[in-house]
Amino acid sequence: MAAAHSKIPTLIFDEVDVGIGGSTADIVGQLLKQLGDRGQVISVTHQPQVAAHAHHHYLASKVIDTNSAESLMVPLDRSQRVEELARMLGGAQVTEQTRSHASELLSLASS
Amino acid sequence: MLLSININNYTLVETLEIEFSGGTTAITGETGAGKSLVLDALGMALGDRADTGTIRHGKDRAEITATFAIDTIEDAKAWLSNHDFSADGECILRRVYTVEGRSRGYINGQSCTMQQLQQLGDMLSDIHSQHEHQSLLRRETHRRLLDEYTNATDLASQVASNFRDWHAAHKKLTGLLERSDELTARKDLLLFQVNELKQTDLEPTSLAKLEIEQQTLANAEQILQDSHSLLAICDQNEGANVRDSLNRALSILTGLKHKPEALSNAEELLQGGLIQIEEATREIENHIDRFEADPQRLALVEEQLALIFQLARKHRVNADQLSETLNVLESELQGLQDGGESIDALQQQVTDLAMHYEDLAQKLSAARQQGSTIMAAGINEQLQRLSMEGAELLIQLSPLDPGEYRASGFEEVEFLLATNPDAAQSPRQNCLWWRAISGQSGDSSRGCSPF
Repeated sequence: MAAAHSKIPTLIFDEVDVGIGGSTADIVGQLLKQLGDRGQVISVTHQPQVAAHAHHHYLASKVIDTNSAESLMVPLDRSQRVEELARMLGGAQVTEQTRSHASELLSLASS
Repeated sequence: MLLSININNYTLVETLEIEFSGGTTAITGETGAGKSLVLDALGMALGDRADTGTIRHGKDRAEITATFAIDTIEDAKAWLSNHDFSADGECILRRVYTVEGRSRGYINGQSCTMQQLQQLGDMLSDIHSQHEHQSLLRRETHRRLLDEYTNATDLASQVASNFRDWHAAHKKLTGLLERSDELTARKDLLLFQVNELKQTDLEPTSLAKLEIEQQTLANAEQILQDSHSLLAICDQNEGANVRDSLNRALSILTGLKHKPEALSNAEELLQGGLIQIEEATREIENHIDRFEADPQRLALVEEQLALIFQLARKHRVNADQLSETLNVLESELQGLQDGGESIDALQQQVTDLAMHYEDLAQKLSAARQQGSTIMAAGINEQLQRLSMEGAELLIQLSPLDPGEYRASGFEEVEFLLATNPDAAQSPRQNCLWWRAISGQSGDSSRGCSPF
C-alpha cells in the first residue's frame, strides 16, 4: 500500500511469501497485482497463488549437460503456466487433477 | 521500469537476455534452478559488492547490463543530469568485474563509481530480498514513504531547500560576527582619528597662511618699538628731528635773494623732501595707531601649528600631506560602516529565512500528523486482510528539540510494528512481523515487504 504511492517504479520481491498459507498467498498475489497495475513488480515466488495472479510468468530452469550447467529463464504462455502451476501445487508427479486445479487457479486469478 | 537485463558469465549463466514488461511478473522454478539469479545479477548492475566467485567457471570476467525506462522518474533524470550523464528516455547500467578483482561500472556508456550505481539504483528500484537494500529499515525511508503517501513530497523538498538557504546564510553571518570585534575596534580607531583630524584646518594653503601669521605676530613687539624710534627721528625729537631740520634749511633758502639756479633747484627738492617726510610720518603714525599687540592670537596660532605638526608626526607624514591622510581614513571608515550595514542586512535575511523555514516545517508537520493516522489505519486494515490479527503498525512522529532545524523538518518519522497487542513497539519488530508472515527464522539481512 505504501508502495502504491511510491515513486520507485520497480518493486522487486525475492521470496517474500515463503511459508504462508494458501489463502494468505492469494491475498498477497492480489496485492502484488494491484501494485503491478500502478508500476512494475517483479516477484520471485514459490507460491502458486501468487504466481497465478501475475500478469507475466517466467520459468527458471537449469540444463545440465556432461560438461557444465546452464541456467535459463523463459516466459511462459498460458498452457505452460498451467503446467508450471501444477508442478508448484503438486510436486514432481503432475496428475490430471492437479493440472485442472492449476488451470482453475489461473482462470480465477485472471478473472 | 526495468526493460531488460543482459547477463554474461555470471554463476550458471553464459549468456542470458531477459526482457520485462510493466505489471506484475512472477518468476518461479524448482529450488536451485536459479530463480534468484536474475535478481542477484540485477544487484550487481546496481552496484552491489562483487564476489569474484560468482564469475562463471572458466571465464575471466562477468558482465551484467540492466536497461531501465526512466521517463517518469524525475529524481533519476535530475540525478543523471546533475552528474553529467546523458538522461534520455533509457538508462543503461553496466557492471563488469574480473577474476583479478577489478570492478568497473558504467552509466549510459560513461564510466562511474559503484556508489553512483547504488545511488541511481536506489531511485530505479527497491529490492526486498537478501540484498542489502533494506530501505524499509531506514528511518529516512519511513519519512519518504509517509511524505509520498501524504502528497507532501514537494513541501518536504521546499523545507529541505529552505533549510539549506537558511543554513548557508546563518553560517555566513556567524563568520562575519566572529570577525566583527576586530572590525569594531578598527572602526572606533578610524572614527577617533577622523574626528581628530577634522577639528583642524589641514588645507596646505591655510597652513602656509598660518605660518606667515605666526612669524608676523612673533615679530610684532620689535616692529612697534622700531616704529616709535622712526617716528621720533622723523617728527618728535624736539629740535633734532628730520622735519625740523628740513624746515630750518628751507627758511635759510627762502631768506636768500638772487639765488643761483642750483640753490633754487635745491630749495625745490628740499620742499619735496619735506612733503615726503610728512607722508612717511603719517604712515608710521597710522601703523602705530592701528597696531594692537595680540599675544593671545599668537598663542592660539602657535598652538594650532603645534597640533598640526604633532598630528603629522603621529601619522608619519609631512604637515601638508595631512589632508590627504584624512581622505584615506575617511574612505576606509565609510567602507567599514557599509560592512556593518551588510551584517544588519544578513541578520535580517537569516531571520526571514528562519521564519519561512518554520512556517513550511510546521505545515509539513501538520500534513505528516494527519497523514500518519490515515496511513497507519490503511496499513493496519491490510494487515487484517493478511490474517495478521494483533499486528499493528504505529507511525510515530518524534518532535525535535524546539529551535532545532533540520533539512527533514521538525520531527523524526518512524514506523513501529507490534506483532501482538502486548508487545512493545520497536523498529526491529518490523522483522518479527516479516518472520511471522513468512514463517522463516530471523535473518536480519532480510528486508520487509511494504504492503
